[in-house]
Amino acid sequence: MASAAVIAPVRTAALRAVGAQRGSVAAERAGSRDDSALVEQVVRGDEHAFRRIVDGHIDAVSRTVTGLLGPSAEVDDVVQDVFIKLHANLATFRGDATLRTFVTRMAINRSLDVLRQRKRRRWMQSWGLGSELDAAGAVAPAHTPLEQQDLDERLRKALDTLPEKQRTVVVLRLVEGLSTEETAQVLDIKYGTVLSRLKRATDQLRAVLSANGTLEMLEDK
Amino acid sequence: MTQKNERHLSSALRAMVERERHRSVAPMATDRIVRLARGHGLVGQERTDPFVEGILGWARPVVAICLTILVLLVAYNVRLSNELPGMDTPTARVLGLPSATVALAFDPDFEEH
Repeated sequence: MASAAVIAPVRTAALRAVGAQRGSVAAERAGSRDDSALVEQVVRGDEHAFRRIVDGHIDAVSRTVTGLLGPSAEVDDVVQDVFIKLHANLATFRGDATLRTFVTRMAINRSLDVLRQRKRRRWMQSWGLGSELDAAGAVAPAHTPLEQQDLDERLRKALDTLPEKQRTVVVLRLVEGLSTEETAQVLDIKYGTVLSRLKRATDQLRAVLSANGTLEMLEDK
Repeated sequence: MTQKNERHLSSALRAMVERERHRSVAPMATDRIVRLARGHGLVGQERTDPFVEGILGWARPVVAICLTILVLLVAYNVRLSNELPGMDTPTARVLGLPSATVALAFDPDFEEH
C-alpha cells in the first residue's frame, strides 16, 4: 500500500514528462530549423542575423546570469562574453538542441566560472594575498521602496545559501520558467535528478525564508 | 513545499532577478555586443559563395606562378640586352639575325645579307 502511494506520483510525473516531450517535439523541430537557418547566416558573417540572435536571447541570458551571480557589474561582462563565445562556437551548432538550450548552457558554464573565480579571490583575500574583493562588482543602488529592497536582499541571501548545482536548477526552473525536461536537457542531467535537486533546493529555501519570516511576507503579498 | 508556496516563491524570485538584472546590465546591450563582435571581425564581412571561393582558391596559385614566370622572363631579357651591343635583341640573337643599326637600315645593300 505504502509503496503504491510512493509510486503513483512518480508515475504521474513520468507520464506528464512523456506527454510534454511529445507535445514539444514538433515545436522544437520547427524552432531548430529556424535556428539552423539563422546560424548559417551568422556563420557566413551576416551582422543582422547575429543581431537577431542576440536580441532574441539577451533577456533570458542576462536573467540566468543575474540569477546565478546576483546584482553585479560582472553580469554585463559575462553576458557579452557569452554572446561572443556563442558566435565563435556557432560553427559547431548541429541543431540537435535548440539555440536557446545551446546559449543557456554557455551562460551557465560562464557564470559558474565566475563563481569559482570569486571563491578563489575570497580564499586569497582570507590569506592576505588579494585585495579589494569584488570591487568591480558594485552596481548602482536600487531605486525601489525600502520594503522591496529588504525582501530582495532576503531572497538573494537565501538563494546564495544553495549549492551551485541546486541554485542552477532553481534559476532555470523557477526564475527562467523552463520545464523540467528542458532543464534536464540544458544541464545534461536526468529528469529525476532535476526533480530531486529542485526538491532539496526548495526545502532549503523554505527553511531559510521561514526562519526570518520572509515566507509569510510572500504569502501575504 | 506546496504548489501554492512554490508559485509564490517562483514569482518573488523572478521579480527579484528582474530588478537585479536592470541594475546590473547597462542599456543598449545588444548594440554593444554587436559592436564588440564587429570589432573582433566576427560580423560585418559577408563571406563569398563556396563555388566562388573554390575558383579563387585555384586561381590564386596559378596567378602567382604566372607572375613569377613573367618576372623571370623580364630579368632574362634585361640580362641578355645588357650583354648584347647595339640594337640586338634576344629574339634577334636566338633567330641568328644580323645586328641592325639605324645606319644599316639606310644601307641599300642591307637586304642582300
